[in-house]
Amino acid sequence: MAFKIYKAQVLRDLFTFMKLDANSDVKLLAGGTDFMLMLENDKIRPDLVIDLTAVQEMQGITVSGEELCIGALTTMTELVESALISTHAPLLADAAKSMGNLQVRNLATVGGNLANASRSADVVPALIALDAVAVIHKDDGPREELVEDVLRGSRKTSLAKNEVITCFKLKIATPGTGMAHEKLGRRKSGAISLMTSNVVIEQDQGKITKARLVFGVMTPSARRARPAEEFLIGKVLTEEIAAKAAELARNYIVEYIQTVRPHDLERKELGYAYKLPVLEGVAKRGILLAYEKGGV
Amino acid sequence: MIEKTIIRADVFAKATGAAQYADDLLFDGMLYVKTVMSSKSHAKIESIDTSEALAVPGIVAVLTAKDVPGKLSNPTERPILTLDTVRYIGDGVAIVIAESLEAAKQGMKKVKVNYLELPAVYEVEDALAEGAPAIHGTSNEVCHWKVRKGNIADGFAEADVIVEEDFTTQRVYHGHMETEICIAEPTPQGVNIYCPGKAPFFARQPVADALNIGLNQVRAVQPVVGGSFGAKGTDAGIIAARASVAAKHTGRVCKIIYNREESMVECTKRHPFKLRYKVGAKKDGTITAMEIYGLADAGAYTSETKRTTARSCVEATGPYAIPNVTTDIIGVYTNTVSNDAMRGYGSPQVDACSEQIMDELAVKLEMDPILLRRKNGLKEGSLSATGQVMTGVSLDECIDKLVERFDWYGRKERIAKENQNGDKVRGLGMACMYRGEAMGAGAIDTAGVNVHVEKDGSVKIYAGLNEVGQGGHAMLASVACLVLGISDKRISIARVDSAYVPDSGPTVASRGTVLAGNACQRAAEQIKEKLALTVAEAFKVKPEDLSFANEQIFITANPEMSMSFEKAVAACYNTGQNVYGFGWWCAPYSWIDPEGGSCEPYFSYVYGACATEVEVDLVTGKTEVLAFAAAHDVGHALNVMEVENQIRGGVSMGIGYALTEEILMIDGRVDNPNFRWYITPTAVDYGEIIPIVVEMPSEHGPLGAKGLGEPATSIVAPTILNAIRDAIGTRIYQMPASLENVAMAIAANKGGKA
Repeated sequence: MAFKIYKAQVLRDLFTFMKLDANSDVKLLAGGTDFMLMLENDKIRPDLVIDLTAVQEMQGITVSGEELCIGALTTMTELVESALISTHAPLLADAAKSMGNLQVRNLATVGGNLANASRSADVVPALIALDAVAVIHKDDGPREELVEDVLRGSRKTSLAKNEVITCFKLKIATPGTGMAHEKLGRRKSGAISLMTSNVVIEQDQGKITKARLVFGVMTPSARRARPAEEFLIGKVLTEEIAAKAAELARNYIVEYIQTVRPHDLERKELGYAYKLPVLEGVAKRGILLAYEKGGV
Repeated sequence: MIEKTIIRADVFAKATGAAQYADDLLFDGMLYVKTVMSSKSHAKIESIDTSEALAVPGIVAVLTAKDVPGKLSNPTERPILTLDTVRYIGDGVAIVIAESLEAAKQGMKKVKVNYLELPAVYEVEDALAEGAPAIHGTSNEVCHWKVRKGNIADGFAEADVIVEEDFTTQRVYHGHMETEICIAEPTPQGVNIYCPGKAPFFARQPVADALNIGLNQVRAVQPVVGGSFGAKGTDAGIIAARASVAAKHTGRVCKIIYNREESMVECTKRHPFKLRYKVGAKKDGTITAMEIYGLADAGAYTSETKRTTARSCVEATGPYAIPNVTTDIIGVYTNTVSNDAMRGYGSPQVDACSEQIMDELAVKLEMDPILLRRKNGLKEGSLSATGQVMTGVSLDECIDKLVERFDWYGRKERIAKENQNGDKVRGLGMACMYRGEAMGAGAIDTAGVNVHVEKDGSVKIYAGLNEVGQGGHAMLASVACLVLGISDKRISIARVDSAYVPDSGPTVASRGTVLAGNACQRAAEQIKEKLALTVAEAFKVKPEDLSFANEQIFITANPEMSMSFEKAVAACYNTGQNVYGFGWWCAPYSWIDPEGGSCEPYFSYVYGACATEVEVDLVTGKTEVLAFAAAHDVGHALNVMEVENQIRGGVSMGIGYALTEEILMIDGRVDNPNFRWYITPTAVDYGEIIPIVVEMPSEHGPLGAKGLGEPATSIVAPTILNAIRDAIGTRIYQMPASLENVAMAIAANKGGKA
């Protein structure tokens, strides 16, 4: 287990280093909370590791106009403690707070959470529910892609070998927007998510104008439960409507799994027998809570 | 005035990182040892090919059972290395010795073992079935304990209501932060072992056996111990023997350290039980009969199964005076990791069930569960299930204090009001316990402690009682201080080293305070006697006219006439006398009748009562412990802070047993050998823990003190399970009350209150 490690100071360094060792197996290091485990368990054997932690362009949380920009190196703790995040995207703060334990949150980055593309990622589903866009750089410049589209299955992304996520952009919450997050784990700290619920509902005079529902861990990559979202649009929420939307969300997830990985529903270790009924209840209360929070 | 709370001497080093654990010890030329573990549940070893492993750079030797000079184990016990048969996935087959840990790991992977697989059996019922493959000898029955009292048929005939239920308790892991480790240093005649554990003196035996040397050639030196909870007993002995065989073979210092996975795969666990309880009672709540039948999974070797299940059998009814009792507890071999001591040692499994059946009976009788327990609870002079006359019974005191401090009835009212609707419901639960003190029948339970007062008046205590995190050393200091009337600043405790300290027995069975505390008290009293003689002569009074307090020795009737402790010590030495004491204490005789006749299996019992308020999420099945109160009779709290914190720790551990912890097995393989999937609660997972200290002095313990380590965790699980039952209106019969098990119960009950 021997490898070279280079430390990038600015984004340009990264691409310079990549070219220096064009044929080597390169891994990028941000928070390292997943990277170190993979290394320890022999799951990766890189020749070259490029340390991104000092890269200036990937740091910081800023608001310009209607847009919130979150550097990819922002740690979970920074998300939790940022006034900008708790004002404009509280869902993200709640999701970040639910991740791992304090030691992990102090290191783990938002960019790493997406790049790692774990099924049980904690903040990625929240980013999707916030309709976030990932800004992805390579040598010749940036491209932008919806976070939902970056994900291509468990541990799979659209990122090419020579690309790096530099920041996330999302619209700041407008008045009448309510958000609700819930994580289901076996304990409060240091637990892997069994399911996360991320609900964003926008309303105008009681009528729902936009809804985004994302239930993490339920599918190999987190997806918006669009049939449920569409059902909610134009409605004044009641218990019954929330229950119906939750049922649609559940049906959507079942259909989605049947399409992409039909045998998963029977795999005992994935726990769908337990999780699907729970999802319905969790979705319902998430919808009700987000709607309540958005009401003036 | 002696402080009731001594700050433990070890805590500063532990908190600052200065404490030297075994893994911190470095020796020149130290070698690393890895164990090759069986990948089969049950198989004959056809051959072991070590050639490829030996070719790995850095490998010094690969040893198998044939290279062990002495004994591998007693019959039916887990061997240091298996000779020809493996009995579970994790059984040690060979050891690889290398210049580095990395090389040892590589070498371990290259050892080729050819197995001839044998039929294996994983469940206790299957293991007892006719034609089941026998794991040792001809039968898989390890032991069968019985309790017989009165006439069970008559008892049930008298009953107006009968409740009968089946329960399952799961296999759990101690979760000690420091994994199993041993460093063995060869000496010309024997070996020095640095092997943290609960029983340093016992760990020498398998080493001496394996090397064919005397116990006096095995020196056990204790580094700081990173937790035990009943672990690091049998396993420590085996690992110490492997490291010692490696050290003698190579002539160099050899170190074995387990990673978490190795610890969870190879090392011992808490016995899982399957229990059937049947209880009969009259309409007024008087219990007329209780019948209990239980199967305990021993795993692949005998280990501590016989004595663990004996305790289960004795305590199975819970702390109730029942005229007609039949109990059968049977230990059974299976091809799984072997089960042994874990905090509670056979109590928590039966406590979980006796306290749940009591609650079910209360529901059926429509009776307050506390009233039902008071009505049937043991009282002074009651006859236990084994026919023992119970004395020093403090169950009612524990219940009284619990009900008051927890505000049981007030909470009950409030919850009934608040539980109207919503996704979350609250419930209250309680449980009671009694538990035999110390090792009990079948063991000669003794302890020795030396107390040396130096010429300057400072005091050194030499004891084999190990400090595994329980506060045993602070306890010794407290006892010496209280007897001699001195400040704990005078006292230091010698490192546990078998070359210098007397054997105080192991840190098990909640025996440390009673056994070693008594030995320490006796040693201190010898010193007191010597000093009293000297001072009495100086003051021209009789020794019995003197008192020891506030660092002074004075005439009781005339406190002005006093001599400082230091002066008295110097005066005593000047007479040519020493100021040493050697205390030895042997537990009163106790015995057990395996066929169920009257017996006195423990010389004394402790009592306790717990209550909790939980909230259950009807959507997810998640249970939250909002508040937990635990009342324990400790006889005399020698150190109030230690007592309260031991209660808190015990509750925390019990919450894991109740809700989240479970070793998952698939065909004999541990499926979750890591803390990622083996879920132990952390400090943020539960609400307030309210420790309640009850002090009814013991006639046996030092200054009236009783043991607490295991009682603190014994009835936490049933308390919580009863509260869940109260909240959701249906019971979880299979522990733990995991998300899935609770959600399933709610679904089966269609939610809401029954």
